[in-house]
Amino acid sequence: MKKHIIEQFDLSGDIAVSVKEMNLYYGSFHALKSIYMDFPKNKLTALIGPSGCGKSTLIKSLNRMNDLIEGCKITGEIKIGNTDVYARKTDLSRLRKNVGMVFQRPNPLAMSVYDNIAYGPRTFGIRSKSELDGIVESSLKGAAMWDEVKDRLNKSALGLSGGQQQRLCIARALSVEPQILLMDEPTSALDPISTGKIEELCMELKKNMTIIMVTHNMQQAFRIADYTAYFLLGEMIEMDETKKLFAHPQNKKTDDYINGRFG
Amino acid sequence: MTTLTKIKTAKFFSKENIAKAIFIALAAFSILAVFTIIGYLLYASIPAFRDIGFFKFIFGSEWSAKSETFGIWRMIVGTFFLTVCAVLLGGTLAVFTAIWLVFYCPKRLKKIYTQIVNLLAGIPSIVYGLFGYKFLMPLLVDIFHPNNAGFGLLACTLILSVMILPTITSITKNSLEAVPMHYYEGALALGCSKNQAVWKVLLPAAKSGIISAIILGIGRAIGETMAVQMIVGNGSGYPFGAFVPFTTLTSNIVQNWGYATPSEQSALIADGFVLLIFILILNLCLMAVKKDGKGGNKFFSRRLRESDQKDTLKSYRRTGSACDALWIVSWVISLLVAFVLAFIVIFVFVKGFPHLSIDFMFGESGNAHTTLAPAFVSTTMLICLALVLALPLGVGAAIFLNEYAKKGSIFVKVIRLFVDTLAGIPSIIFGLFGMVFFVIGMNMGYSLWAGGITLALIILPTIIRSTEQSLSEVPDSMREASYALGAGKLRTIFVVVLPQAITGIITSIILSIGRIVNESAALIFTVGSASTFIPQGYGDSAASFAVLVWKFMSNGLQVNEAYATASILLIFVIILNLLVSLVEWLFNRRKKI
Amino acid sequence: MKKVGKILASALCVATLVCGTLGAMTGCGSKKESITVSGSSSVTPIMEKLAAEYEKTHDIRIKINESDSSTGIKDVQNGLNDFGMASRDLTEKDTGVKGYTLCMDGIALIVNKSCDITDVSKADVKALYENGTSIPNSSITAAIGREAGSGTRKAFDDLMKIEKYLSGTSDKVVSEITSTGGVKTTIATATNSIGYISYGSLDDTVKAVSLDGVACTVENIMNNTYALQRPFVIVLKENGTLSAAAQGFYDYIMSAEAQTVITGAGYISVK
Repeated sequence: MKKHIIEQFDLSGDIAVSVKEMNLYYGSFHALKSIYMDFPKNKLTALIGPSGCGKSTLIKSLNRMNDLIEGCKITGEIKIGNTDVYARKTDLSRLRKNVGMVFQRPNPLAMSVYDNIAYGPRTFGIRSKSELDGIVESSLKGAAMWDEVKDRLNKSALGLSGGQQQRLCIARALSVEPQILLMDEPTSALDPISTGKIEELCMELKKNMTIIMVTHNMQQAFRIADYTAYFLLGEMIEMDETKKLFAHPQNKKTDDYINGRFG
Repeated sequence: MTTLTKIKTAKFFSKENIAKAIFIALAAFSILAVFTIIGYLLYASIPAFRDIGFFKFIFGSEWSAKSETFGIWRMIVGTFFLTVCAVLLGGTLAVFTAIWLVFYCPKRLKKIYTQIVNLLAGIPSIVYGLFGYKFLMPLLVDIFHPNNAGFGLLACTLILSVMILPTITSITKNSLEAVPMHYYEGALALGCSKNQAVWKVLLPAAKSGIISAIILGIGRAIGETMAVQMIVGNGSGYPFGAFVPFTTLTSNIVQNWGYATPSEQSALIADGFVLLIFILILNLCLMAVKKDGKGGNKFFSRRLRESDQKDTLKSYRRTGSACDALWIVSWVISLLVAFVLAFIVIFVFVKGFPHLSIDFMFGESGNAHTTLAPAFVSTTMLICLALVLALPLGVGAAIFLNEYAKKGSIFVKVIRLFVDTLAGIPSIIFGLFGMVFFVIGMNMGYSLWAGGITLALIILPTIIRSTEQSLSEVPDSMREASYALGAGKLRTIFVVVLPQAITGIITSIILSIGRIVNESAALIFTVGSASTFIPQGYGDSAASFAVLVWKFMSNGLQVNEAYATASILLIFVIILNLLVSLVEWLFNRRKKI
Repeated sequence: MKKVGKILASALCVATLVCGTLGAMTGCGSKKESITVSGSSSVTPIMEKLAAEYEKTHDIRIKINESDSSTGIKDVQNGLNDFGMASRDLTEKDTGVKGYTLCMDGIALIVNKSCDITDVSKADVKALYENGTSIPNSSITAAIGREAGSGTRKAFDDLMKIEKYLSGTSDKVVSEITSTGGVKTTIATATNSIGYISYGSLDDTVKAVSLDGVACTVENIMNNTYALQRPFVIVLKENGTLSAAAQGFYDYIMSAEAQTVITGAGYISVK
């Protein structure tokens, strides 16, 4: 997509996303407690921690998908570049176009492969067939699956295998050229081979895109993440470069978790 | 660039908001409709209550146009007795049938039997009436030798219990299937046999569902009109014997409306109003029973859905207990139900087919020779008008309920309550309302307009609920995917969600067509029964197929034509039933790929 | 959007198709002139026969709306039809209309064909309807009547001096049926009941019995010896004029030619 109908965020600094003094409540449940984090630009940051510690909740706050959940209340500040995500006049369309998301379970739309990819661009008003064709091809190539599906673009996306579906979802996220890509345990429902492919893909993508990934798999974080943050019970315990964090965790809790002494 | 974005944004949001407002309005329409129906019927019956006196009207036992005394006590007693008898019999049969279907039916038979029950639900009231009148009554006379032609409680109870059976069966079946499997396993682990587990553990666990089913059955029995009117005898008796001709609240309206003077008309509307109050009370009971509101979506559907249920339960051993006897009873009853259906269908076909001819169906219709051509046209016109009105209303309301409304908000509960109320109102009440509101009040006269609008009200709940059901089956992950790409709510609904709910919508359309084709009571009051000529437009009076059966029956000269028309109706019903299954099958197949 | 569009479009197509067909059909039909006759269901069968005869030779469409005498008269008063049909004489209450007798009709007492009874007395019939007393020396144990508003019932009750039908809890309570046809089909299967219908609607599915020794025949109705009889009346506006088409049909039904149709159908000509 050469011309951006929707304006991109200004990410001229080193920090793509910064979270300050953020608290999140589901009704009376305090799900995230006073989070301070900076996500470096064009790096892959992994969020690890036990289930229910608030990792997914955090990344869903970044593109405001939490808005869909009733009784969800957020305080504090989240900025992408210089733009306040939770400002009153925030355009959700623009936010979500620039902050793409890949979910835990592959969720292709019930339409053809082609239409799945074209859905995003069409949302933003691109109608021309040739332009759409170009976007579909480049997105699928970007997700390294063009060769697999180029002959079945018009078949239902629901017929793809799980791994293919997930890469399709990544391609779909790429189709609107996001600046930031949120991935919520993208490989947890997949077999090792598909997982490997997606990891390779992430390494490729992070060259010109900021990726924030939630994962349960510490080896995965170790393999691909530049930075890693450890969450526990709604608190961000520690964040550092991945190698440092795994080699010399500063916090006892992190150490326990990484070395399997947790729980 | 920035400004462009902003303009786009502003417009985008306002479009969303307008759409939301429209959806709210469409959803609120049901509330408006119910209030209008209650309000207008009350308004139209005020003269009767005022002139006769409320207590005299309710407890008076004489209904005579000659002396202008109108009391409905006799009809209330009649309706009450008939309902009690029919629900006792029909309810028992239905619960046994449902149990058999869920627990004992051999896997291969399940599909067919589901079809049988659905077909039973689809047979028009007027055909049941025809069958009761021409077959059952003479049979009863042969057996019991009463002093009359066989009118009365016994014949009515038998017919009515078959008519309410599908309603009760389908809801009972749903609630039986909702009982968790581990109850069964738990019972077996404690040493119960399969039969004991079914009757002592699973059946009690589905109690509240069965009670709801019975209440809905009561509602249906109270409201049934045409079939009852044909076999109840309409005498001024009290139904304290099997063969006393008596009158019900509904049959009284049909019986006397044609000749009624204004004061009697008002009394008849008041009769309908009393009926409506009974129905509303039943609805409240229903609410109380299903307090948690779970499974509400499926509750009023008369149609069985093919279950996703696992195989028939495995049987391990049998003991010589009472439960085993019940097991045998359930087999006998379900075979009987299948037999009854087959018998009705075959009876009508055997009597009707010999009199079907191309000329009778499509020939030019005139005073010398009435054919079915006008009925084809008028039925089609009614279907078109009703669907054009009800579809946007219903789908819009369903979209609001499923996509916009906060789950569990009071507004949603209120709308659901009113939609359910609308679904529970008997068609005779819709007919009366259509008569006083559209035909007289808005000066439409007996016309397809009045009938089509009335029918739209009748089918609205089906469309809302069916659409809502299938919207709710669309996984949330797809909505998330759409939102995450920056799409707005409208785009998500129309491009991602609705296309997946299309099966449900198509099913609801077919079911609605079935309902329209079956309808007679409401149409007699709104469209009249002019059957001789093809209607010239929506302003004309006309007769649909079901009304035509009634007309052929009542002029007495054309009983054979009545059978022939009834067989065409049955063919429609069978085709529509098969269509629904076909749509569901196609959809399931697509889902599997 | 595209898919929904497609669906909407196809729905629209279907709708236009249907409407188009309907339009075409109505288009053909509407060239014909039409007149409307409404009223008594007892008069309707003979009116249908007359209309069918008339339509053979005239390019016209006669709509007959079947209801009851009172409605027919009301429709005339309100100008809703071309003329009305009544199965009773007009009374002082019926203002602004005038009536012309089309023919006379007898009310036949009918029983099942298998009944051996051939004659009933007025008193017995009255006792059966009012008190449920079975007709002596016969299998007739119950009576079938018409609904309260029926013209046939009014005439029958008046002529037989029946005050009120039996009510209560016995199986002899009088069944009330909404139509001539209903009475006939019921009697055709019930061997123990007696009912009454318009003489013109009598056919071989049921058997008529004589009343006090007088058979229900054309002669006996004409010479007034058969007590159960009433006029069929055509109702017109008192000081209105008929449309040309309606006048043509009216002239026809009052003509000698029509009287042959009337007598052929079992009614009694008064000309």
